[in-house]
Formats: sequence, C-alpha cells, structure tokens
Amino acid sequence: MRLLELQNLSFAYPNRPGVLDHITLTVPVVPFLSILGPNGAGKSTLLKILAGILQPTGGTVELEGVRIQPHRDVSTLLAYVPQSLHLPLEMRVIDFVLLGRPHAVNLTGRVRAYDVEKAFWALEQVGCREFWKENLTELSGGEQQKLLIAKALAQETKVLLIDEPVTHLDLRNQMEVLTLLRGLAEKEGRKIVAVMHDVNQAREFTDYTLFLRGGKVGAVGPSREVICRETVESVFGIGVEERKGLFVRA
Amino acid sequence: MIQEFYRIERRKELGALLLAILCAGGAILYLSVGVVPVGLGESLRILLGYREGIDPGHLLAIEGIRLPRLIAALLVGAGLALSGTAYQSLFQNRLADPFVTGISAGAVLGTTLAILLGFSSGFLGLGGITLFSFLGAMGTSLVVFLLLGVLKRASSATILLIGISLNFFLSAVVSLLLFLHRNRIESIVLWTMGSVASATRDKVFFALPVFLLGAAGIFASSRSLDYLVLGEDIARTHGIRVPRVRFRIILFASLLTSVCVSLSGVVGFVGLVTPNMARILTGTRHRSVLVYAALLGALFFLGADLLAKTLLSPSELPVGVVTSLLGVPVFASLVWKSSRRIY
Repeated sequence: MRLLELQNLSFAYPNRPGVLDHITLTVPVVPFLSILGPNGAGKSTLLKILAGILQPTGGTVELEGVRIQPHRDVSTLLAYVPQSLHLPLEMRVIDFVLLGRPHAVNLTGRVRAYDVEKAFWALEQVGCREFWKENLTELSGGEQQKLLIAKALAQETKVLLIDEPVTHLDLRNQMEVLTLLRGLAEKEGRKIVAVMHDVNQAREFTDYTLFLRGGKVGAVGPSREVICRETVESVFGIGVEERKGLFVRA
Repeated sequence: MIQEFYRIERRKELGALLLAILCAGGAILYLSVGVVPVGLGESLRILLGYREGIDPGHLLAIEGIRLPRLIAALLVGAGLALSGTAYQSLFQNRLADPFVTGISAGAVLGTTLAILLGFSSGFLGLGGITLFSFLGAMGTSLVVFLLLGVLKRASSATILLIGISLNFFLSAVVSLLLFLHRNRIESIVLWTMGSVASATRDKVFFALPVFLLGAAGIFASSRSLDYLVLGEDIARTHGIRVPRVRFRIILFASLLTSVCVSLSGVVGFVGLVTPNMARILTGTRHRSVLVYAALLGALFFLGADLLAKTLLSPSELPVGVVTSLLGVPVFASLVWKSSRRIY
C-alpha cells in the first residue's frame, strides 16, 4: 500500500493553465509527509485535489489506496484542515469540534453522548479541553489552529490533510503545533500530509518531502535526504548554505 | 464537563419550550384583541372547539376573521425567519434576508401587474394579488435557477450578485409601471408595506401545505447548513454535494418566502433579525437555530401585528412598518454588541 499515488495528474484554472502539470509519483506509507515549494507552485491545489475539493483536469489520484473521485464522500478517509476558515461569531469550541462527528446530532436534535466524549477527547489531545465553552472567534490564532486540528482528530480518519498549519503562528505556537502533529503521527498512527513553507521545520518534523515547482515535481524523497542545499537552491532559486544543520541565506 | 455540556443543552431545550408557550399565550391574546373584545378564556374555549354558551358574534369574529389572520401571522413570521436563517448560513452572510435573491421585487411586480390588469377575482378562492405575488416571487426564483444552471460553477457571491441585480432590475420595472399609472399608486404602495389583515381561510389553506413543504425542506438541510457556514470547501470534504444542496436550499427558502409574501406583502426585518437573535440564544447548530428562529419569528410577527392592530385602533398600521420600527433598534443593539466582540 502507498500513501499517495498520482498518475499523470494535471490541473488548470480556466485562465491559468498548468497549475499541476502531468505529475506522476508514488509516496510510500510514511507518518508525516510535507509538501514544499515556492508560492504558486501548486501545493495547496494538490492538497485540495487530495481532499476531493477540486477535480483534476486530467489523471488520477489515490490516497491510502482509495481513488479520490468527484462526489465521492471522503469524510471517513480523510480530514481536511484549510489555511483559514470563516468562523461564525457564536460558534463554541465544542460545537466546532463536534462537526468532526457527522452523526452527532440524532433525529430528535439531541447530541449523542458517545460523540460528545469523542469531541472532548479530541480537545484533550490538543490541550484545549478547558476552552470548550469559549467562542472560537475569541481565541488566539495558535489556539484556533489547534482546534482546527481537534475537529479533524474527532473525525477519526486515517489521513489528515493540513494546509500551512503554522504559517500565521508565533515561534512558540509553531513548535507546539508541529510537535502535536508529530505526536499524532507517531502515537495515534495518523498519516499527516501538510503543506509547509519552512524547510528547516520540514526536515526536523516530517519523514518524507515532496518539492513542487511550477506545477511539476522538483524533488521527492525522505526529508533528511531530499532537503539539501542543492534542492532548496534549485526549487526556490536562491542561494543558501547550511550552518549547524539549518539552512540560512548564503 | 460532559454533565455541564448536557446541562446547557437542556437549558436550550427549555428555552425553546418557553418560546413555544409564549407563542401560544400570544396567540390567545391575539384572538381576544380587536374591535369586538373577547375574553381570554372564551378565546381559548373557541380555539379548543367548545361551542356551548359562546356569543355567536364572538365566534364569528374569531373563527371567520382572527383565526385565519393569526395563522397567517404565525406562518409569515416563522417562514421568513426560517428562510432568512437558511440564506444567512448558505451565503455566510449575517446580513442576508429572505429577499436576497430578488424575490420581494418579483412579488411586488406580480402584485403591480395584478392591480393594473384588474385581476382581483383570482382563482381557487385566492385573490388575484395573492396569486400574482406568489407567481412573481417564484418566477424570480426560476430566473435565479436558470442563471445558476447556465453558470455551473457559480460561487455563493455570484448568486448574491445575481439576486441584487434582479432586485434592482425588477424594482425599476415596478417604478416604470407606477410612473405610467400614477393614479393607482396608492393600493400598490400600501401592499408593499405589508399586512395580514386580509387573510382568509382560503389563503391560509393554500399557504399551509406550501409552508410545510418549505419548512420541512429547510429542516432536512440543517446538517448541510452546519457545514456550509464554514465554507464550501469544508462542506465538500464532509460529503456534501455543494451545488445540489445549495440548489435545494434556495428552492425551499424561495417557496417559503414566496408563500409569506403572498400572504402578507413585503415585511422587512423579521427574516433578518430573528435568525441573528436565534444564533445569539442557541449557538450554531442548525437544528436548534431553526427551531429558535421559527419560534422567535412567529412571536415577533405576532407582537408586531398586535401592535399594528391596536396602536391606532380602530384603524390599522401596516405590520411591515411596525416590524421595521421594532426591528431596527433590536438589530442596532445586536450589531453594536457583536462589533464590540470583534474589535
């Protein structure tokens, strides 16, 4: 079984051809896969295709051996965490996380106890159990990001697709969220696919990395090997050097 | 924590029950008040079907006039609130109201045509105005659906723009007709102010099945609405087939709005304010929000119509004027409260 199998995958917007350009690749089953690349390389587009949100203009996609097709309900296979979300003013944390439990509300309108327990369990995992009554919009960016992950966890899917989980967070929250994801991948056995920006974080936290550049595969392989000076320079078009295991501007 | 969660859930259920009791109480009061006052107990007895010892004049006033009007008021209040809730969630816009797809302008055009062409007799016991306003509203929805069919990838923002454009276009047509027939402006303008004073049994019998169909459709979509509030991408990953569900929700909301408009004319603010109040009281789960909104809408409309009937008695104010006069301060305080929360 493979985590990801793309066959001749293409995607184009009506006025923007070649967002993804005939990509064929396989990724073995790894706990944590990162997708890296410059802005406009097609990272988020690829993630949305994996989530079944966008329909490829050509080719096929398999995630964990399941073919992703338009109109197929993928909610039991994967949970998708977008970059940002429009949050209604009165949404309580617990109600948001309960949305990860699709059948939580029964016919009479009551919430099933089993699902409430699962939602509290998910909140516990991200360390936000005490916020359950708070309004989501009143929490900090770091807490909101953790709650997006909690909702995905409550969904109890094998795969978590996360779009830029730490982009808008401060350094402390970045570390907390990445450590949380790493822990979920290791202890919970979830497969995590995340679009990321920081090559150093990708090398430290993820097992496998896919570099995209201009809609094509720039490089792919185990993070420790593939994230090297040559790849970073060729994919991002800048000069870097490695100091004490970190890439810095040359 | 789980116990507390359920304690809050129970409190919300009790809140809904309280609103329902208030509605029932309001309904009895509504039946009693009028040019011929009827005692509260007597109204209740008539409503429960007792006929012995009841003044025939009172019986006629309640059964012939006030009961159809009461049912119309409840249906319009609940219907506009349900349709407003659905549109606000679908368009992720708390300022959306039941008329967002241009329906009100379509209904006004239908009524204007009915009055100008002299179709007052109507069909199936319904007045020409009721029928034409319903057809005008549904016709507008049909145009929206046809445009949606052409623009297959239309986003919610596109639908809003289509609705706003239609609204302006149809309003301009109405203005043109009014300009050309200035002598008959009064009856048309009065209709647009909204009133359920002319509700009859026939109208209510026509409206009830349409209302039930629309309301059932909206309630059946409550799970989809829970996810659509968060955006179409998230909804898709939860197995919701967005274009199809969106079509269904607009269809049922249009049915509700059209039937309300045909009963009462264009009544503003109920469909905008009560969904927002419902969300403040009960949160974001649509099963509860819809129940609260329907009850609050019915209660709000009932109260407004009671005031419309009594403030200048024996003459009446258009209920649309009262709902806006009452609704604006409520809404302003709501906006003030939520803006404080944001900044």
